[in-house]
Amino acid sequence: MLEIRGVTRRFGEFVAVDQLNLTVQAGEFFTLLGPSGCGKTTLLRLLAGFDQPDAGQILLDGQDLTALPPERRPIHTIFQSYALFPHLTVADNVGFALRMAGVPKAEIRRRVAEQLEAVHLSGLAERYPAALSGGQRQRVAVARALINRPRILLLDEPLAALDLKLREQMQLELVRLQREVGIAFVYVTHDQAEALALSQRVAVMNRGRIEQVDPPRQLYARPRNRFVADFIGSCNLLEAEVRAVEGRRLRLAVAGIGELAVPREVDAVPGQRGALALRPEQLRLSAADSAEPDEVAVEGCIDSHLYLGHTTAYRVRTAGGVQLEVQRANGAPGLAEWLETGAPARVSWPWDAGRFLPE
Amino acid sequence: MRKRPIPWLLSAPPLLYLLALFALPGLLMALAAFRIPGEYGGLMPLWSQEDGELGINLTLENVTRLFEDGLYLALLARSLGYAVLTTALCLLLGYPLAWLIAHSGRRWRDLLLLLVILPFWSNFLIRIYAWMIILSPVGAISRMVNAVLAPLGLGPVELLYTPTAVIICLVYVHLPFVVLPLYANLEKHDPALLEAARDLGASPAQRFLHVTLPLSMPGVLAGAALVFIPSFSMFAIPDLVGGTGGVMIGNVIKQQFLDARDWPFGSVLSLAVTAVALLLAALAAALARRGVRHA
Repeated sequence: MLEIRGVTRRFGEFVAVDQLNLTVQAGEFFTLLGPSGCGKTTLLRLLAGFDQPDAGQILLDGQDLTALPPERRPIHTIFQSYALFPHLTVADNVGFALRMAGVPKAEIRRRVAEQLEAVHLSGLAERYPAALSGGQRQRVAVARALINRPRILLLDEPLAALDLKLREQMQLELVRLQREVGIAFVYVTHDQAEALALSQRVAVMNRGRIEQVDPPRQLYARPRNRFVADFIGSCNLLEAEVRAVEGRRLRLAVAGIGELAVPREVDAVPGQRGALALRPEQLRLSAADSAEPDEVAVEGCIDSHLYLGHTTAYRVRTAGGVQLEVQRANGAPGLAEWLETGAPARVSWPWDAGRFLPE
Repeated sequence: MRKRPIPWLLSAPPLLYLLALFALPGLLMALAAFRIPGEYGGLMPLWSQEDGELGINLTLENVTRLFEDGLYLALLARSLGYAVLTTALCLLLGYPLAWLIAHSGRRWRDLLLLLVILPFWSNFLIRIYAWMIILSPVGAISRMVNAVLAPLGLGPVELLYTPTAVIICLVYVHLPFVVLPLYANLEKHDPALLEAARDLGASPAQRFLHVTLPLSMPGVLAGAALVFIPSFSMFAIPDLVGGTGGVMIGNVIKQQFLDARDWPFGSVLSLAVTAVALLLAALAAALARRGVRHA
């Protein structure tokens, strides 16, 4: 178990990591997600030991690592550029950590062969990194970092340099590998889709702080604040104010729409300001003025649309002057064909699809 | 592949220059090595007619003289030793300096580089004359060394007109030629490689031996070649500060051409120096190619 306790790192006036607390469980695939400059890479460097925190502690299974240099931490890093040694063969790259530790040659050879097998690179042992493809380099980097069985593996946007197809393939492979070796992976990315696809838990970072730590489904379905809702997937965020608290419901006054109810998932008091969050794919778009019971409906007209292949993103301007993004699956059964720009439309959603996010 | 005339055109002037001023003289010297010295210097005509008989004036005597008289081979060996020692000292002194420059901030880096090339702004001979003053018995270094040695009951030592003075000056003159290519190499190293090595458990010494040093080999070899070749054939420095004990092969070559007026034997000695230098350069190039292949 990796514990980060009150860690702060400043660069001059800029606070890159701000009194951060975080726990990563043993064997967990954990992701640090955030926009560039949010402090995720700084935090990773603090964990690896390349940088020292100005305050706070980093503990691994109760042992304080803060003062240990990187070469003495049982934590390895996969660098964004992979940082393979260009003058060493694949086998020598993979065996580097063992050679530094003075492991006998025969054992190095055996374990390197084993490790290359695990990442499907056995045939390339004598190649140099310059003669490898991006995906192969990535595998060498993984094999090199795992060979002496670290307790934690840190990955700094390791797939950023790969093209889409290869990235998806490597994502699956990383998840498989993580299950196999059973150690905790701390994965840094700014790609929310990648974070959701890979992780058991995701920490969303912003301005050196953690906004929310949750499993992917929860993070997407129940974002705790505006930043998380906006950063994970796309989200309609409308200015709202709490009017009344009615048992398990909150009654909101929403700018441009009017009064409506949402499930009460957070403590709120009347008069509190915040945002109504609506996921585009939870909104229904229909031409007819049919309203299901327990649905909120708003009239408007199509402002623009974006054809994305599997879905179409419509922008609807409501009568109250608010823009709503609606995402509709193309070719799903029972849907009206196509809505042209300028056509009148009705946007509706089950009342419990909306969420109130306090300021 | 399509022919591209522009690169050929652009490389023609330096190519011609080298051909006319390096390859051609070299060839002339190779021919001169088998000829007979003229009575008043220069060369005897290639053929002569004596009593109606045509004589061709070519001989292997100059070449055999090199191998028969141990003096010249010993001198060649000693010059080789000086050049190797100079190269080693330059690398030893230049590597840390190049590393320091490559790892200092922008402002310091420019200043340090300027200081490295600053000596080129004054003439080579003038700098050696300066060293003659520094190394002379009344110069600062000699007095400092002897001031330390005297209480120990040693000395006084002479520095000027000794092999030591030759080595000191050779190292001084050639140090920038090691620092500059090494700096150019070290500056390009990806810092992530050292972090990766550190992350994988390498100590500072291991990081140097297993990452920095092998990656800097092209720079080391380039610097070594730039120091070794001119030091090996140097004559001005031993002439000025070497005295009788510090003579190098370059001095003898100069003597053969200018004093003894024995051009053929001077040519043989020059060719011997060139052959050794080329051999070592080829070796270095082969080593460098091996290094570059993976970089």
